[in-house]
Amino acid sequence: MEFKNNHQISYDKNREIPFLNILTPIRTNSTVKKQPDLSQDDRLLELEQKFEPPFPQEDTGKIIGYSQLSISLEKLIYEKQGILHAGFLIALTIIAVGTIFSFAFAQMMVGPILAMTRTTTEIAKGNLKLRVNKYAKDEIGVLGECFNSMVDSLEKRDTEIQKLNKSLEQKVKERTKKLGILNMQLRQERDKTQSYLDIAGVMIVVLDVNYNIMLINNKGCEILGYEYNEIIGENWLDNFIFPQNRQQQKTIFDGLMAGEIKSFEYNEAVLLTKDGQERIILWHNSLLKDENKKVVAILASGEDITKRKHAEQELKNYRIRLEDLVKKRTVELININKQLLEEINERKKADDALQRKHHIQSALNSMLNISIKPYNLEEMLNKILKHIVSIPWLTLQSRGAIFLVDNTTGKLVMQSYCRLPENLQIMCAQIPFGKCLCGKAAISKKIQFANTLDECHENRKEGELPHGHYCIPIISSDKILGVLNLYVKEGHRRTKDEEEFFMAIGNVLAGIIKRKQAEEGLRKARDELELRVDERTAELKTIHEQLLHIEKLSALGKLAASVAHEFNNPVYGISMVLEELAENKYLDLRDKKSISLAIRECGRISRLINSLQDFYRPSSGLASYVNIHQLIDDILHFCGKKLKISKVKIIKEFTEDMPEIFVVTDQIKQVFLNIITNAEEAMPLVSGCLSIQTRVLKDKIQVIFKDNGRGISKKNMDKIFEPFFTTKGTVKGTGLGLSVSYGIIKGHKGDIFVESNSDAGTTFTIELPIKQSKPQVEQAVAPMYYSMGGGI
Amino acid sequence: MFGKRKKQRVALGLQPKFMTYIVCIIVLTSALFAGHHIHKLDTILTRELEEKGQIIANSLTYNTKYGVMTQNTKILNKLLAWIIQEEDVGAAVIYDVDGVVLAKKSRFKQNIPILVIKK
Repeated sequence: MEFKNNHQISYDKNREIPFLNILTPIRTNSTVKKQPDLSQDDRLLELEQKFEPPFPQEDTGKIIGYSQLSISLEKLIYEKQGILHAGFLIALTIIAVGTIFSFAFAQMMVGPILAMTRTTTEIAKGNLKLRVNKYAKDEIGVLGECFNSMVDSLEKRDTEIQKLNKSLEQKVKERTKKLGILNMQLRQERDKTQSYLDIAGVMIVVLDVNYNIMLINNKGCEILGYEYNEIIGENWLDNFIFPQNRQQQKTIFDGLMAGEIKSFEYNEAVLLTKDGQERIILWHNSLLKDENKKVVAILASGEDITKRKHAEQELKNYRIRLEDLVKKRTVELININKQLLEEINERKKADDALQRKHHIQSALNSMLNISIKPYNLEEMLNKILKHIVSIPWLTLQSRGAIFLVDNTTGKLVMQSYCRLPENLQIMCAQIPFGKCLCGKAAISKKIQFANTLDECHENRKEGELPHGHYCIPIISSDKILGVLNLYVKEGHRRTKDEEEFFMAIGNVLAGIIKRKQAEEGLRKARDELELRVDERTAELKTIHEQLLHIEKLSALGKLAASVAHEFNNPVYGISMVLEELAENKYLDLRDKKSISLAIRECGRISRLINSLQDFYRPSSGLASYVNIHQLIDDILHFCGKKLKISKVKIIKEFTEDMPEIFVVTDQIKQVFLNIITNAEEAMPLVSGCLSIQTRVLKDKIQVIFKDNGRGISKKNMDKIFEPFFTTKGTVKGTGLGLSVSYGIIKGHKGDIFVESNSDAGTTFTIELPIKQSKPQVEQAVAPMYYSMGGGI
Repeated sequence: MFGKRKKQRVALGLQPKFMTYIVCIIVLTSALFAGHHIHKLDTILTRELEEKGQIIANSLTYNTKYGVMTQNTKILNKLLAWIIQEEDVGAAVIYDVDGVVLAKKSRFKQNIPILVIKK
């Protein structure tokens, strides 16, 4: 932080009460100069005079803190406002006094000028007797004197002018009187001439040499639509002649004045009237000359021929219009005649087309009628072919054939024919695509036509009667289904109508064939479906039998468990009795051995009963830490008798460092029992060997069951974990053992693998994780008795 | 000859022009004078207040040295209570070297302006 004079001063004006904040560092060795014993006001006054910082402190030493002094600015602001108000009051007083002073000063300076202005105004109004008052001898006084002398000279001049005016007025009066008499005479002459001109029935205009109008009669004014005074003095060519005639009129006037045109020649010119109308005038011009034979004016008289001209023009236009009308009407009549002829032809064509459509529709209807009858495809095609060749309005020979595409061979196969000789039937039984006319129709999907036996007709015989063909492709959804072959006479001409009809027949045939083929397909599908239903019914029957077997096993399990329970108590009693007997001192050695054997056998029965009860009991689903070796031994004990009967040799290869794993005991037992039972059943009667090996891997254990049985065939390898799959027959196996085992191992987040060879037997490898959370096994896993009969 | 001359209207007479001119000069002069006077007084008052504040602050700093060294807030509070009795002093605060408030007193109800001490 930076301190100026050992202080940091800041203003905080945003608060309700503004502050001046002074931050001062507190130092370890700061000293304050000894101050004289003065009051605070005196000290301030002294400090102000000295202009020195008050209480100077040494700014050395270590800073140990800061003191902040916040001084309220409220009083300062109040004082400032007072000063501001006083300043305003003083300023207002000065302004008021100044205004009064300036008024007085202005009055003193401007007063004489204003008086002089008023006097001048009066003099300007004509009062030349007035004079400006004399003021002090300053510049304004001198100005007043000069002004007074100027008014004196002005008064003298005014008197002289008035005298001259009077004599001038007298002379003007005399002259005016003379001019009045002359004017009257002149007016009389002009009126006389004007009356002569006005009487004339034509327009008369007098132009000066510049073609300005000097005189015009009433008729002229009437034609132009102007007043007399509006016309006089105006230029004739610029104002009254139609713009396109101006140059012509100027040329005529110029020629007349130059003597090139004679006075008696007539010419036509168009005038523009006041309201913008055009008037056609027939002009006759003559020259007016003074006594020196100098041309002074042009006298032009004109006759208004506008109406006559218009009438002539209208007559001419009317004649032209009439001629045009006659021409138009003639052309229209010719066109109407042509249209009528065309209409008659179209009507005829429409009638023909209608009739043809009727025939086509009848033929197609007949074909469709045949198609809905319960014929098979071949019979139906025969009927349709006979119908087509017998249509009376077609110029066909009564022969033909229908070929259908054989998808297996890719050839056209003749399905039906009509009146074909045997050799042709054999020759055309199968036609490859692209061969002969039919093959070409099939490959091009267009109608093939031939009116003679040419090279296109590849399948032909020597001595065959001349003929032609229509080969029509039968197409559905752009796929060729077959070809319709029809015979025509030699030299037959193909027509568009015939081709359209044959195309329609082709389309209808395609529909019929497609429908028939679909029906065939449907029938086949129905047969297949029935077959599959039978198969499924058989499968369901097998499954039902397996389920019945399971039920039986379940009942047997329940029975075994309940019988075992009932056996337990008497066996316990027998065991107790035998133990008491064994303590008898009087028994000989042989009897003691027998009783000891009986006690051991009772214990064995008891353990067997407990095992049976354990296996019957449904899975608890509760996981616990289990010694897997103990678990395998329990299972082997349970099936010991069976394995002994089957003479199966058990080889155990248990690892020593096997940890306890967290599993649902009864479920894992079930898995092991399934695998051991399957192995026992798959092994030979004499030299069966089951090897059980355990291993510890990184984070899991492995239990490997390896037998030397007959193995699993390759085709069954993919199915062994499927439910209800068994190779043991319905009575012996349920097909659920391995399926349930697979589910249990997966539920323990483990894995089960199988390897099988028909010579070396089968190896089941089970992997289970050493550490795992609660196994995700279902509570109601299939009870143990499912596996009693074995898995596969 | 003078009668036909059109009467010319004067927009502003000589007397108002004179008056306006002189009044403007007076107003401008008095405004400048008043402004200067007020500004000068304002500067003097502010400077005097700052100097007075500095004197009191020096006195406070000198007297609080041992209180701050010993962190004795009781003494500091007493000193502050004495110092805020001075005319114009609105509030006083003592910070340690880290800017932590050791003692504070205010004459007003409103919050004391606490400064942020930057090293």
